[in-house]
Amino acid sequence: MVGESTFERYAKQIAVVMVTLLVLLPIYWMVNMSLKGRAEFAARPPTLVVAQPTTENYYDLLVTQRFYLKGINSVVVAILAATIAVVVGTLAAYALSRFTLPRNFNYHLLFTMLTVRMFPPIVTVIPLFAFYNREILGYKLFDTRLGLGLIHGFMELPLVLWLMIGFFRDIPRDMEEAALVDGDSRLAVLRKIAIPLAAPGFAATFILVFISSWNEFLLALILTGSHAQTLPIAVASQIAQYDVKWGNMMAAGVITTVPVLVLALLTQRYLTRGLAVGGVTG
Amino acid sequence: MIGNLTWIGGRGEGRSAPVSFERVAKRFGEVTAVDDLNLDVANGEMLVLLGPSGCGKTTSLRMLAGLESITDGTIRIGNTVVNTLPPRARDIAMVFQSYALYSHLTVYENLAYPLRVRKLAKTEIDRRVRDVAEVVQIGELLARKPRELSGGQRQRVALGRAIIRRPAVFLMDEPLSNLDAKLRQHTRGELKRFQRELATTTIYVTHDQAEAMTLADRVAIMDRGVLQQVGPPREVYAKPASVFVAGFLGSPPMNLLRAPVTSVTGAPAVEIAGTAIPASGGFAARLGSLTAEQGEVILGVRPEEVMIGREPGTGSVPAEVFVVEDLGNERLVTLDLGGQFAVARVAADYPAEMGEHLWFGFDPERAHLFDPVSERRLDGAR
Repeated sequence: MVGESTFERYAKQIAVVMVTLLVLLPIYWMVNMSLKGRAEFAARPPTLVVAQPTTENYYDLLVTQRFYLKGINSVVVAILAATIAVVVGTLAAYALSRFTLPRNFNYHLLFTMLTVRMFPPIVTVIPLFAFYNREILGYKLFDTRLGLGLIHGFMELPLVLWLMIGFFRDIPRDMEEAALVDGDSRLAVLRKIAIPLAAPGFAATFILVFISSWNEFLLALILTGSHAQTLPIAVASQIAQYDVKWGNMMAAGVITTVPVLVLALLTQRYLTRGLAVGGVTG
Repeated sequence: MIGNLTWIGGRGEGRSAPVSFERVAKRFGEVTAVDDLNLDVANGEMLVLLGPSGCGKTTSLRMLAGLESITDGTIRIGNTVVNTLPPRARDIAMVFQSYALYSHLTVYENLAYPLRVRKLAKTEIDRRVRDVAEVVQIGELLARKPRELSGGQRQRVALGRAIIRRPAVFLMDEPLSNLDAKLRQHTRGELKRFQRELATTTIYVTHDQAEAMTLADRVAIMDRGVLQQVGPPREVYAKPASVFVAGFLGSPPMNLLRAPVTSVTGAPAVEIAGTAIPASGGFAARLGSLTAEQGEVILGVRPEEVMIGREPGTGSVPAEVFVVEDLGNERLVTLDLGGQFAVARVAADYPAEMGEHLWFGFDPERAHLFDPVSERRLDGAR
């Protein structure tokens, strides 16, 4: 910046480095601990850099405990949740952004959707548990990936709705009206004009729901048993009755974090562009 | 050039059709946007809807397009009542003010869009796109995206997208207003040629009176949701039906002066700036059609018909020059007539100075008279 002294410039940079370190430190510590053997764990003071790195924690998790099965659960549930939320949310958002309902109903609907997010999840989890344990058409949702995916998707629906409405509002009305005049139906306009133009927002929303489902703990804990268990629950279950397997737990943390981190890095272009602006200009 | 488009009018595609509005109204809650609109547009005619912003012209066009529902009345395209038909079923093509090009598609795909929707064969689509691109002179731009085009080029793509399918009616919503002045005039001429060669019914919305006058077969002037007058450009200019039309057409617009009606030795007269001007002939007859108790009339004189002089003549009024504006080929002299102002259009070399005292005169036979209450034109015995 103009008129900035050398001191000010360095002070700023130091501040940035400090904040970055603060954020990265827990992640570093997790990776660090996941690579330590039992002996090094006991060292006091703890070693900042691992002296004798070992993969025994990872081996135990992946081979003995078959941790990857939980990973597959997480992936399936998160994709299911993101797909449900984005498909349903997009259709609803498009309708609410394009059609004006009488008596300001658009606003009331949107607000009502938002209140769903204001409930503490713990309030809904018991009734949901009861519901999921009932057999409907000979099928129980409890401990199924479909069941968890559904509830994760619908939980994030308000978020999708609010985000997608913003993206749709950024699309010039004229463009859609031109398509209507050119011979398209509303649904064709949505498919051929609105969705391609809102694509960055679409991708960003999908990723956000994916990550939120990936990390969700409470519902996953209550609504799954051994079969559809997801990663966060598997991480927590490293706390056994008489013993906390710290090394395993840290390795599990790393395994759980890496996929979303990679996903976020691969798609950060869409994430930032999608969330910063609508990305649509004439 | 349009003649090269051999496919136009072929293959049983929609032919041009007349349009009619019958007692059409549009209300948004308490607000009446269009009130009791009755308007017939002949087959192949170019009708220009003219008016200031918010006058209901765009709403009328959007109702015809099916982008806005109608509150009351009947709209017909050809013999079909289209009141509840969706836009796609109305056989229309529209050019938007913003052009509304599909920004994620190339120029080629934009032009092909209406044809792809109708599932024409690929080879046929390709042929038509290339033909139309030739006609609107964008042949070398087909692979570009709209954001890489200039305003004029975008306008051409929008026009091409409208003419690629031969619709029953063209709708144009201020298609030239985003162009710069020079390009606008050029494109205006081209548009007129296109319309005449295609001979397709066209409804064109604008707030620019020059555009309306040059393009229209007939002009329909609207104000506050009400149709004021419909007629050929020369007729609405020569015989404005209301004070609004008189003040809206012409640049600078008609001078409108409030003049008390008095009498000089029993004969009727109008009074401007304290000077009574005796009325005779047709002027007196028209003045006679004014209902007596109003005691006032609105007198309209076009700037080019104002006569200014250094010496008083019959029926001239003393005036002071308020301001003089040079336009290069002519001068506009604004006169202060005892608190009312009138603009005179004079030759570029006419000597006039600010503050100078001159005489204002007009030809009563050519002057326009309006009722001050109804604001309608007074046409004497007629």
